[in-house]
Amino acid sequence: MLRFFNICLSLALVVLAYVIYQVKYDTRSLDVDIASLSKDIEAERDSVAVLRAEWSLLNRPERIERLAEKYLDLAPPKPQQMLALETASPGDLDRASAALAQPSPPVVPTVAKAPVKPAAKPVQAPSIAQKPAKSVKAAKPAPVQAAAQ
Amino acid sequence: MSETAKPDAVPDSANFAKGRKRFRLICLALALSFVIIGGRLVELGFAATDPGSGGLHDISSTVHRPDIFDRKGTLLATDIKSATLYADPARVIDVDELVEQVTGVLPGVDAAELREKLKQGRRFVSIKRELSPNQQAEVHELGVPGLAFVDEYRRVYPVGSTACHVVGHVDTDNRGLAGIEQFIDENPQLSMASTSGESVTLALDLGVQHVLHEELAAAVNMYQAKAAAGIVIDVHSGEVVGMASLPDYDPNHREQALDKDRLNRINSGAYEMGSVFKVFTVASALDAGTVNLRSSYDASSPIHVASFTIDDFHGKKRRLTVPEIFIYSSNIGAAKMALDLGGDRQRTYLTKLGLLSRATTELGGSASPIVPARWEKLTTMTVAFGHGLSVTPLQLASAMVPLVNGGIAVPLTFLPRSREEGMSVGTRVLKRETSEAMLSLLRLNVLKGTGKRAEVEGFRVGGKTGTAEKVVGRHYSTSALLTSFLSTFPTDAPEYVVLVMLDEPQRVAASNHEATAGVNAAPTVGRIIKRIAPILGVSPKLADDKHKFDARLLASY
Repeated sequence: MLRFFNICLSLALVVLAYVIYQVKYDTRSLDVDIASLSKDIEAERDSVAVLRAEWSLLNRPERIERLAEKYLDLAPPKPQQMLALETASPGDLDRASAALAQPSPPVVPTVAKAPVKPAAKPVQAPSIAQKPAKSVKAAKPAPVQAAAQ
Repeated sequence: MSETAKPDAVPDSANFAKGRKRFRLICLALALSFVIIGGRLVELGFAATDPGSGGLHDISSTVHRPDIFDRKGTLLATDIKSATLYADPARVIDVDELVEQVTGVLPGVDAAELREKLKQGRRFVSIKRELSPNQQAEVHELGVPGLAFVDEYRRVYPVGSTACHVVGHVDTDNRGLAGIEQFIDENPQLSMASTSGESVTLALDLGVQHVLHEELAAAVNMYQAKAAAGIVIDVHSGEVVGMASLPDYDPNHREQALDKDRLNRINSGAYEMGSVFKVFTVASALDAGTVNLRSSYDASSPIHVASFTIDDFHGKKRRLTVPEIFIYSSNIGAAKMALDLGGDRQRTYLTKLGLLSRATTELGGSASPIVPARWEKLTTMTVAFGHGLSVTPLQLASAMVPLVNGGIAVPLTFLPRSREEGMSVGTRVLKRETSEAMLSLLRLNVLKGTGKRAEVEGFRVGGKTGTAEKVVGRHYSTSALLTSFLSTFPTDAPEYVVLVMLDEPQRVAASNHEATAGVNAAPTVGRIIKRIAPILGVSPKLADDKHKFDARLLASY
């Protein structure tokens, strides 16, 4: 009886030794994985930082302005072209939509030399008009959309 | 142990009992030690594994700094990792070979200097910082023993000089030397952790900042001024949304910052600002009740005090009402108004407006105002029109805030703050009615007075010009002028204060061969407001129907 028990124990010992060995090796390879993954993450993070810096560099207002002047047929918005939704009368909106319905360009922006700024909002969205300083980045509402809202 | 193990031919019962006892003792000792070892193993198993033990070490020797963003989330400053090449002289086999090889790949390295350094026998000789990945690969290819790389963070400023005086710059070890960079080092709790790392957000708006920077540069060019400075402040939150001073520098090339001429004039220079000070004189007098808008003063003849004569630039030679004194910028009128107010009360008001003490903001290096040691009657009169007291443009713009926002002095900040918070941290220094009266005067000055050229259709600009003669040698010079325009918009519900200062603008054709503030600083402010108002979300108000929203213009898009 005792002998059988002893044999069982020694077998168990062998099995356990094997299992522990296995587990240890698994963890070691997992550690290596973690290390290489963290290294990759770090590298990715670094390249993200570089890309973000580059993005910011390419989005410098003076560069956008230069490009806009060169490629876009737009001029800075005149006060007459800005309209806050909450102060707009129905007449304003009717005229706006009527004007949009027949796309005959009566007035071409002539101020080609003036610094063109696409980032400026041509039409004020209501939320922006209420809380100016906290407005969202750049110019979202194109005049067409805002007038049609 | 050997005793018990020793085979005994005839074990007597006493011996046997003794052996059993020993055997038990040994078993117990063994069991105990197993329990201890087991317990320790379990303990180790539960102990948190050190994340750094994976063989990963941050080998960067420079500090990692938080990114800096503007209020709309545009990146203003970030860290980029780059390799630094160094040599460990103890492991270098042949110094001459190393020097030759390295200078072959990196032409910028001074061979003699490197050889000298290597022979001094230190353990770390930095050879070149900020290697490009290509250079790093080339050096690696050399395979020279004793060379190694270390990753270092390098600060880059993608927007360059546009926001340099606010953001500041760092030294070679990535420590903040100026501006917000320095402030971050002193207040590390500022940086907020997010998924993309640590960051600090500023109140600055890059769009506004760009316009300010560009228009000031244009003004320097157009009026051939020596320098220019400008600032845009939110009158309710006290946030500085734009601040520029020319000439400036590119923070990516920090050595430029050493040039004294490139200092931040807004914050670090104190100037006699001239007539813009009349806004404070009039506001104090109105607030104290010594005058009202219908009061008038005799401005027909110059005042003679001691050896000084106070005269008007464009004298009207008659009695002037308070609004007339303001819009014609009468020195005589302002001086008399200040005399009625009295020196003590004048000082009290100037103190409350923050003009007599150093401005404290997040930016370091702000200059102290130069306050006369003795406040005599003559001082009272000259300070009334902005001479005899030097303040920084930052103080000036800051003092303008309570004049237009209903009387609350809000401390300025370069970090985001809500308008509610700004109004609650501010202190009341003027009556609401004073602020309203000042707004009407400021507007009147743009409609009818010296500030006409600052008018922007639809944005209701109000402001006061100031043309100060600079002290050259020991005398005021009539040719070296410091012009400024202190303004607010929109005057029916002020949101922003804009100050522009030009240093020694010339009498050029663009300003009708004049050099006063009305023809250079005022139109510059007008151009700035015209462009920043849409960015800041101030909606235009047009007087008559003819100018109302024009749908035809819209259709042309």
